[in-house]
Amino acid sequence: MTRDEATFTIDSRGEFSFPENHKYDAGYGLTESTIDYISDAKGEPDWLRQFRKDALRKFNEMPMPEHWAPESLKNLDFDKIRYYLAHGNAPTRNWEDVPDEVKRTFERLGVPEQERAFLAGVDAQYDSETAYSNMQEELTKQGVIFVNANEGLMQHEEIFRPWFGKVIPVGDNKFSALNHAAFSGGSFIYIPKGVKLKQPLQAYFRINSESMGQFERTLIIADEGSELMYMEGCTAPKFDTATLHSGVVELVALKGAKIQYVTVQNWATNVYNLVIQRGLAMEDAEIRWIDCNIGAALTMKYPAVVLQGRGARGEVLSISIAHEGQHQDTGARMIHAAPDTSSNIIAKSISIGQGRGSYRGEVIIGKNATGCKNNTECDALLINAESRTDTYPAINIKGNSSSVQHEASVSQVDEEMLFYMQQRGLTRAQAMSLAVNGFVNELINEFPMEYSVELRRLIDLEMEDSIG
Amino acid sequence: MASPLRYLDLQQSRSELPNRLNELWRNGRPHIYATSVAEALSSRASQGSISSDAPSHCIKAISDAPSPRGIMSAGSHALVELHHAQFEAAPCGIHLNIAEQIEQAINIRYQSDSLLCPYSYIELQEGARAHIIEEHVSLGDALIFSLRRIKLAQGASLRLELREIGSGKSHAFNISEISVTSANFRQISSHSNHAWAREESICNISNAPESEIESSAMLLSANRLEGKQILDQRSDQNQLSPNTSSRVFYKNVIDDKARAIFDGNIYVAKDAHYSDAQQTNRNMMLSETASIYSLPGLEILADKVQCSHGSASGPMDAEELFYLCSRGISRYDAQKLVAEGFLQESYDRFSRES
Repeated sequence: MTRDEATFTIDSRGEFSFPENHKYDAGYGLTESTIDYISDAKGEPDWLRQFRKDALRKFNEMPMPEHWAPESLKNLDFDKIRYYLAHGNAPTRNWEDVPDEVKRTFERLGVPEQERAFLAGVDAQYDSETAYSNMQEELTKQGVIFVNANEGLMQHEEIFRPWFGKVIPVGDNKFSALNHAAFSGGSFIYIPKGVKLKQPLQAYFRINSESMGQFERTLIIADEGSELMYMEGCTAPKFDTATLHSGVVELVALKGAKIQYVTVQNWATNVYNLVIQRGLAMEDAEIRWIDCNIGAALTMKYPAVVLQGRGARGEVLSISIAHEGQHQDTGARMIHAAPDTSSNIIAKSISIGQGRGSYRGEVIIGKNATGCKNNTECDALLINAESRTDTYPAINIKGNSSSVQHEASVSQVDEEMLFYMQQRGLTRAQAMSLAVNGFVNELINEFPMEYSVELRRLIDLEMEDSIG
Repeated sequence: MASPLRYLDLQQSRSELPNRLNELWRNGRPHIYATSVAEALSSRASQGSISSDAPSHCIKAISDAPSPRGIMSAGSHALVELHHAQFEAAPCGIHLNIAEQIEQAINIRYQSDSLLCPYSYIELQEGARAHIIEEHVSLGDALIFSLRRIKLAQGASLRLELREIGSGKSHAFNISEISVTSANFRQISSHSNHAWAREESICNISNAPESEIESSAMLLSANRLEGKQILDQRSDQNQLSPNTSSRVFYKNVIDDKARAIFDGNIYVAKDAHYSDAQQTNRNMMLSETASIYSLPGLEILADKVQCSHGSASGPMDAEELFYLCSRGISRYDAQKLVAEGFLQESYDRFSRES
């Protein structure tokens, strides 16, 4: 397989494809020489190269998740995947190549003109330099480090290396090993003691690096008493030719720190989105995962919080929409390892057409974790007769001083409610969209304002397409 | 009629003894009890007493019942095969065929001090009605490994109490396959004083074509665990045709170092619209070392349904205790009373008319 300057056309299941022209392309399959290629391209130190190779060995040794994982995971062929692509500088796609359907979505979502090209993958980054440099200056003044994964490990080794791969170890599972071997892209963030960021940080605004990688790696360390909100992804459809995305996101909230991590994922429907997200919350710290999955063929994502210090708090709020041909396998894990910790999980899933939504959750209350509380609610909404939903929570409790409750329900949109709205002059699609928006309303309100507005519009659009 | 493929697939693909890789077993202690069942079955002969006070015209020869082989289980196919080998060598069990409405409760009793592998086959004909109390008494370190097949025809109604009584050292393993066709089924199970017990209740609920009677099934359980006891319960509500309803309501009081596992699933087949299913697991934890693993599951393939599940675990309510203590009841007795009251809810549901 050609290594450099390769030109491919990748079929994206009738979505759309671009002739590509990458400056760096490590070719298909993952071997030691692929890793050498990645390390050379990035100019990495030897320890990191060795680290990647050790992870690769682990990856090859470990079995695929078998007895519980969704069937479609079997279709994944690791030899048919390219593990490192970098664009170089110039955008190589044309706006004219973007299908009308996508343009229409942008229109409806109200995505600003300049951003559209970026989102469609036409432009490497949209013109945000001024905004970005102002923000960067402000952050540097406060001592915040906001760089990409490679810069983080090379320029701030003393901060990031001690935590790198500690929350999610290499051998955690096969995909964690894969990410450790092939990671590129993602953000490394350090917030100093007591610094409370007023503005959310967005991967979006970071320049001089791939903003979204296939094997994205994010590590956020919030030092004692600091606060931040981080946003990743966007509601608009995001196109990429890579079919496997296996990211690792590690959060560390030291004593009294607060981290909110917001993800909105809308990959094209040829993508396998297998992401491992885990946070470590020390004494009185708080970690919140706010998660919305709309795209991808198969999503497997179970944000976790390890409540390691007394009084820590964890929360997962999750919305997933599974459309025709999609399987959203999402969930949450809460591991209570210290006394007086509390956690909350609210998950809402919507299955449309032949879409399938699954909730897989785990709540563990450890041996010495006394006085813990957990509340889990998961609700599923089924829109068509063909859709399917599953709920598989696991609750593991030791001791008599904690209380845990789990509740789940499955329902369809009430026909009478629809009839009532139609009778007042709404179309069926509008009525359906109102009903669905009502279903997820309390969660959507938790998203930052722009996101929640876009999410609502997106639901309108989905309903129009499937009903209208 | 659609069949819940999940089990068939699992059965076919896993003929070895249940282990941690078996999704339907992994949360219990398969390495402890699957091996001890296999060991008992291969080293001891089945012996014990079997009795029943059912009207004689209802009792049929067990050898005339359809073979227990191929009974639906939760990943226990290999063990069913072992049971079958024992059963072939010495068929034992009770075969009831009830065609009328029997007011008085029928008692079935299995007792053993070593190993007993009985098979109960209970069939209710159209419109029949019965109340059966099935008691399994294990003495010493006995293992009673029972398979049950229950078939209810249109309009039939069965109430079944399963009481598994142990000696503290004994083990119990029960697999029930229940087919409810336009009929009404209600079961309550209780397991007391076993070193470990596993119960699998697989309930297939459907309606006969063109029948106006809508099936309903209710599985209840109430257990108190202490010492190092382990109770591993698996319940399945397979709703296979439209307009059926089912309830699972399992409660445990867990003390000392005891451990309970609840693994339930609601399966609504494609096109089984207007299914109404609920599943509840509640656990009262009485000691620091007690533990519970609760997995309430839903697999819904139809959209016009009402399904929900809930699982809650927590300590005994301090206020309830305080109230009783303030009336002069000792703390020990008060605790006992509150725990009893907690379990009583299952029995109340069992005896409720509707």
